[in-house]
Amino acid sequence: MKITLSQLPVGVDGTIVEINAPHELRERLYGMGFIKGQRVKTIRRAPLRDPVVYLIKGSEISLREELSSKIVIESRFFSLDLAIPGEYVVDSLVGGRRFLEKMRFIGISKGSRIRVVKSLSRGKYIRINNNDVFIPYRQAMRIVVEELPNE
Amino acid sequence: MSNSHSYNKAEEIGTVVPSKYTSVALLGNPNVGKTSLFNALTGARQYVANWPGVTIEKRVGTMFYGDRAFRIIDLPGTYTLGATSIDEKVARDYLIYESPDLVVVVTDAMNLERSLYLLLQVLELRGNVILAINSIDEAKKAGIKIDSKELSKHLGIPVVLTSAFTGEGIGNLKEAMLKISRSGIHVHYLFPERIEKLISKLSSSLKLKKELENFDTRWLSIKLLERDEEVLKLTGIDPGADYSADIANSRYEFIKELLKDSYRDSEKHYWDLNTAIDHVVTHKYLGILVFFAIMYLVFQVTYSFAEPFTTLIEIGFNALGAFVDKSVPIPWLASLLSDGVIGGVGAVITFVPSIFILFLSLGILEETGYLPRAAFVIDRVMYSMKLSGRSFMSMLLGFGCNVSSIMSTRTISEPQERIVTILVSPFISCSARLPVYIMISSVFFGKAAGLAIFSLYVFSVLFTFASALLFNKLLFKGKPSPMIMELPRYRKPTIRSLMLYTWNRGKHFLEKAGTIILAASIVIWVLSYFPTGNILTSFASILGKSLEPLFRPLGFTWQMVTALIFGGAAKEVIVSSLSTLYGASSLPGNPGLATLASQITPPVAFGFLIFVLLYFPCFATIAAIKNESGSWKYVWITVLYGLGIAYLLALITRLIGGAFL
Repeated sequence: MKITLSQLPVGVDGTIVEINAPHELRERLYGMGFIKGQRVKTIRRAPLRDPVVYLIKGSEISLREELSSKIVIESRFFSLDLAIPGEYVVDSLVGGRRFLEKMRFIGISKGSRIRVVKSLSRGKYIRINNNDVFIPYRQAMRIVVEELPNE
Repeated sequence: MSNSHSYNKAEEIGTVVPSKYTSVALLGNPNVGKTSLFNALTGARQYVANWPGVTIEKRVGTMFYGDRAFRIIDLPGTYTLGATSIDEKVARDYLIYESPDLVVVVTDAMNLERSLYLLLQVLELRGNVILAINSIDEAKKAGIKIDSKELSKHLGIPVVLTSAFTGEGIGNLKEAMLKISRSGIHVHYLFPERIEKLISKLSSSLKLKKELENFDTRWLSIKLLERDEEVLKLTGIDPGADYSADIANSRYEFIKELLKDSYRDSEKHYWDLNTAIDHVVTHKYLGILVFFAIMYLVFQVTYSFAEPFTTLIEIGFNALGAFVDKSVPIPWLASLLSDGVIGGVGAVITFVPSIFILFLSLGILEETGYLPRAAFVIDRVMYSMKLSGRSFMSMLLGFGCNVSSIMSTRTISEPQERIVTILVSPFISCSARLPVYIMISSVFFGKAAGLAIFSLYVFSVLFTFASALLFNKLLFKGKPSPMIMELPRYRKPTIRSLMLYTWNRGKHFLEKAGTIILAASIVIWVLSYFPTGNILTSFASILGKSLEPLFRPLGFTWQMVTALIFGGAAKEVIVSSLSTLYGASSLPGNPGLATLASQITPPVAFGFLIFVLLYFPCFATIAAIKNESGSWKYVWITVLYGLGIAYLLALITRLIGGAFL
């Protein structure tokens, strides 16, 4: 799915599709290796979440969200809050033990298959193990899913 | 292009005439070890200056090799030869308009693909280029194999593998420089056909323009296709569509082909230690802890380590001054020498320990690679003031001394941000202002003295932030610097490069700022000595008395106004001036200051402290601002803005205070 670089979860990589940055910054981004078709990986977030370090062409570059939100990438992995209705596999959960436990309670853990039924601005209705569950936006942001190809 | 002097001619010169220098530009991405390579080539024969009109450092050095003398210029680190940032513009303008005899493009063996992008841009522009692939020692350790002969064959230029750290390949680089300076080659690599077609079409129309005959039309065409604003303006041609993405892609395609036969990456994971360190220093909680610990350390080292030396220097100069005062029979001359000259030189020299220690610690932080991490950790906080993490440390240092603060802005890479940081630094309450706060607060605020001083510090921080926002808006239309920053690998700094870093910048400060501080000290001496030799009837006092009506709305006495004038020498001088003018020693609670207490009210006193915090900074700070911003314009902004806002806020303080008390 197409998402912005700023939405790419930590530890996940994707391919650059489009760079919508202003012209004067685009030159520099090219020089640093941000070009169409290039793979880029999110390495880590700053303690206050912004900026974020990305790995590109073997070097680590820190970008603020202001700019990384203008770079479009194609990635099979993204957080659940971005998912459109369809089939997904949970890739990882970002959070502490309490969050993991809460998710396990409703049947979500690494590798579980879920189906997004309905997408609302405040969260997602998903179907898991034949149960319908509502996942609020805040929690959905912390669930990294992998897109399953349509059979 | 080829400036090949014959062998005989070069021998004829014998002693080298500056114009016979072969000029060499070093160009490369930031963090590729370009400056270390520069140090390895030039040794101590180098100096640091600023590029005219901008705040970017210019390093120039000399190298003698074979029958040649080379003048080496270390251009600012850059990723492209666009003209969108000042670093890039300085580098590019130098290559285009100064046209050095040869260019050494320094690249990183650990990250060759990315750093070759810049090389291609240089090859589009000119010939006589050497490729130096640096950090070859690290690459070897990591198991990376680079075939320099193969690369050289494909590129058509000399390729040298170097390590500035171990010294490997430096001799080969010198040899290559000597060789190419006698030959002169210009090669072109080709873009895909459809772009080449566009280039040749544009080229032929550019060739018709007479005013462009000094430029390479092929290069101009490429830049036009990239929609380079300067070239669009220069040529007056608009090719329409933007091909910059296409061109960037083709360059990387070319690099990929190039490296296919000549570069082999290893399977070994050489990134591990680096990742481990980063895991700690940029960690959510630990990272912030490490950050503040290191900041505290820098602050302590700069001021505490320097203090004994500073005190020693002060004692030495005081003793020398007293000795001269006694031994010179003519009173005014004795006073000029002891108070003006020796006092002034002393004022400059007292900065030496802290400035040198400051640069040493900055050098360590910069060369190891921690500085970008620190900026990364704190960036979000500074971004709310439209600054970046880079400026935090400078501001912190300001609590010790505004001069150190301004000098440390050398580590800020974005010129716009650097200017804003320089402009707001004087509002950070430096340690020299503390004695003034203590003296006035103890006289006027009794038990609340601590609170008064604390509130001044809080006010100082808030005012600095507000001014940063204001200056950003007024001078740069509120556009924050983008902070696209590379986090380089951690490196072990060499003692030599640290010494050169410290010495060059420290010396530069002494030469440039020292002159201004010395001159200002003598002016202050003249004001305080003439015409009568008594401070109470001196020009300064006359000036204070005549300016007093202007300060009447604030409630200041003429003694206070005079003390403020002397405060230009150094803020703590206000304390001694007030004591002298009120005829007493500087001990708080003495009878002289009782007179002051009877003359003004506590709100006026607090207004005075606000005024002391905000009005024009001391001469040393002004000298640093001039030196670092490269322009008197920013000095005027500082002085006028400071004075205006100090007056306004002192007045408001008096009015509000008066209403409550």
